Amino acid sequence: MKSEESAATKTPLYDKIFKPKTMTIGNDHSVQKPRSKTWIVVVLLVAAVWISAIVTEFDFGIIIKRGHQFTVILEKIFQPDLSYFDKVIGPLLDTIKMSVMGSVIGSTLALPFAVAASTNINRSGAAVAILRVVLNIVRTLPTLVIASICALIFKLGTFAGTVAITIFTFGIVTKMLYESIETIDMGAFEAMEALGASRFQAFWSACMPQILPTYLSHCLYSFEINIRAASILGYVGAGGLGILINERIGWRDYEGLGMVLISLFVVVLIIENTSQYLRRKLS
Amino acid sequence: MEKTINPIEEMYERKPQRWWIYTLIVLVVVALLGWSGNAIEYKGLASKGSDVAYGIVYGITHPDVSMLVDMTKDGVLYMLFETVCIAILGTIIGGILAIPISFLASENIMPKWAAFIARAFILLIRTIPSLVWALVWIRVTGPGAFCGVVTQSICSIGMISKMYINAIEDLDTRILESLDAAGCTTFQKIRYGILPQLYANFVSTLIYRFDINIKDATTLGIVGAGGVGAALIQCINSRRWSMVGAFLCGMIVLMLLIELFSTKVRKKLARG
Amino acid sequence: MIEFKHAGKTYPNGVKGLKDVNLTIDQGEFVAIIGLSGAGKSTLIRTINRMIDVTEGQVLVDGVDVMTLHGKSLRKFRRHVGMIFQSFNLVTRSTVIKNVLTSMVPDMSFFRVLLGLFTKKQEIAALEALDKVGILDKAYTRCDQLSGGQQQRVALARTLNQNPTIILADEPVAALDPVTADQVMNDFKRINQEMNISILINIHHVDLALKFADRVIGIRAGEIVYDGPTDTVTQQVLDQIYNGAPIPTAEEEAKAGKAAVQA
Repeated sequence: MKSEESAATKTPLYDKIFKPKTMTIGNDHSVQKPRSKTWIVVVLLVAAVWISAIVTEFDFGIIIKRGHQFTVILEKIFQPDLSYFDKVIGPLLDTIKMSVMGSVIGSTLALPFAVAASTNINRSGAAVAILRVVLNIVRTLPTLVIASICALIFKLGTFAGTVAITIFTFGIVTKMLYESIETIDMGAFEAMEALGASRFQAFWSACMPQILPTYLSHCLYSFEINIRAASILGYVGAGGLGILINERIGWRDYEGLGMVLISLFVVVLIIENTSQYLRRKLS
Repeated sequence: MEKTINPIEEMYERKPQRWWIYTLIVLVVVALLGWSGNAIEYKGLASKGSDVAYGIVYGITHPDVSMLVDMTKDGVLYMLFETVCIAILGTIIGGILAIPISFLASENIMPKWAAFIARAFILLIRTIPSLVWALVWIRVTGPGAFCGVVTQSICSIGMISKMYINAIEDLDTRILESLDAAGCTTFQKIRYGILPQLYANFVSTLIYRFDINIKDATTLGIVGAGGVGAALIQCINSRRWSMVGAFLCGMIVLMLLIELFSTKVRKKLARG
Repeated sequence: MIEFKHAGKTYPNGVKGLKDVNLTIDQGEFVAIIGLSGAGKSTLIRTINRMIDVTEGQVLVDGVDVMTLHGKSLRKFRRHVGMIFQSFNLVTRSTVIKNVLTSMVPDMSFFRVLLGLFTKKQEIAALEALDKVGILDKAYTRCDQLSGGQQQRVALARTLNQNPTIILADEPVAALDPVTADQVMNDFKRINQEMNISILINIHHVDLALKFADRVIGIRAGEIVYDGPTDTVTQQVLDQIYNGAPIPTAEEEAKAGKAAVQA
């Protein structure tokens, strides 16, 4: 409260350095026009791009010189080796299974944590803050890093992948869910408390019906992402298509790689469309 | 008494029967779980698996401080800096490439068939995992940060166009009418009628994608596309836990900062 | 019976919500509380079921000091006090009957609450409550498809379903058009007379207050400035409640007052 008040009354530092321009119109009425801040953004952006280009040794010439390499590979990918499909089907199903299992477990775990991390339900500010820091840390860890660690802890294979997907799903669903919970209408909750319900009863009867469709929608969305995420986990030994991808590229068998990618493409297409159809129904 | 009960009993009988829908949903979920459960067998911990778990915890709580403060090219800071640079360039180039593609894919501007082709193209880009893009581009650029930039430029197109398209299709065309009425040329209409509507949305999308790209860039290193990933995976595989801890701590702090910045700016853009 | 004994409320930021309120309300009375926005009407009503705690004095309901109630005893006490809100506070995504059934939730076992299982007896009771407010035919409709007046009736049915002895209504008709407001007030009056439930109602519309209530309480800047039967309310009394000398301590109230007068 206090800081807002002082911010409103004090002139911002920027306006002190670059004084607002006073615009006077015909009848001597005047208005203060703050100086534009666009130039700062532009200068920073140009500097950032310039520095980044130096650090990453950006050289467009390489792409022009060696670009044909890419088209050669691309051409091979688009002439997939159809007979390779027999080998693809197993890992493909593994990938789907890992995503299903990881999505279900992750989203189920997410529900209680999201409720506990919502400021409108959980009135203990400290608990919410601690929980959110932990959740943020879980979310910042890249899936592939989690998967490679899981692959070391458990034996190589789908179990490690499932654990990685579970953690990943848990992270994003919790975040999306507590953001949704904070926007729900608390009127019914208040009414439930007024008629003598405990906090749990009030939450379950008044808030759950509001959250449920959003929650399911978040779960489906995470499932969509998970299929794609799970497909590369094999690269670090956590089961699924990634093993094949790694292997095919290693052997420069781009026709085989094409088959892997096309199978993945079809599966993603089907799952995304089904999921989006269901999500539209939910809202 | 009987009479007053009757309409109520009658209403009770009209209660919609939804139980079979719920049963069906439960059955489908259970079936899916059963089906996927059979492939995911728990084979127990790997030999020394518990050592690994302990090592991770130990590493994060005892990060190698010398690596965190090391300012040379082998230090965590420089690698994270490189990661950020990859993400900046990748996001900006991807964002620029996405503009023409998303206009081509917008159904309110292009004919349906053209939009469909553009959309299929976008989906294709989006489906292929970034790791695969990196592995393919590495043949062109050779390993290094530049490969990461090129990879992210391409990968970003997928999601960025998807969000651009939404913005373009939500365009309020009534403004164009009023500009027409004021006698504006086509260029003026685009400059003052369309760009102001799209600007905030596009920038917001870019910042959001930047957020994702940072996270993505850390993993691209695993295949040799620069950034922090390569060294991190090496440390994990050789079980140097305090070094792993240093990397993880650095990454967590970086990503928390970037996310804080990204949500703040996007909130500001949304409110105008 | 509800008694206020020197009850006062000071908010944490120093604002005085109520100042030395002394009132006795007998079982079965229909009381309208009128006053400007921010005068303390809501605070007064909400201290009765402890949605707001008084900071000074006592509030007694049937001889029990509500400030002594905690946790379970407070929840048990609230079972007998119904509350109606300006914005209805329904779960709009759910059906009408589900909303009415929620008032049974506090008496149910954990697993029944978790799975949302209600007995036939409970459902029949809920339907009866709906019948009393005349919207039985809407029982299986989703609340967001109902008009404002119908939604307020659902809220009323939900409250009746808990068999309260007191109903507190916080601006129940403020969000409704005049005709619907009149109908909803009629419902309140009928419930008050047929079931001998005490009704305390916060209301902006003076004409509705005078038409339906037995007793009017006027409140200004947290103080009771009028308390008496409806038929003794004169224009002078209303002037005193609404246009009394400006209160120097509360600038916001003066502003809100201006807005209310203009409206």
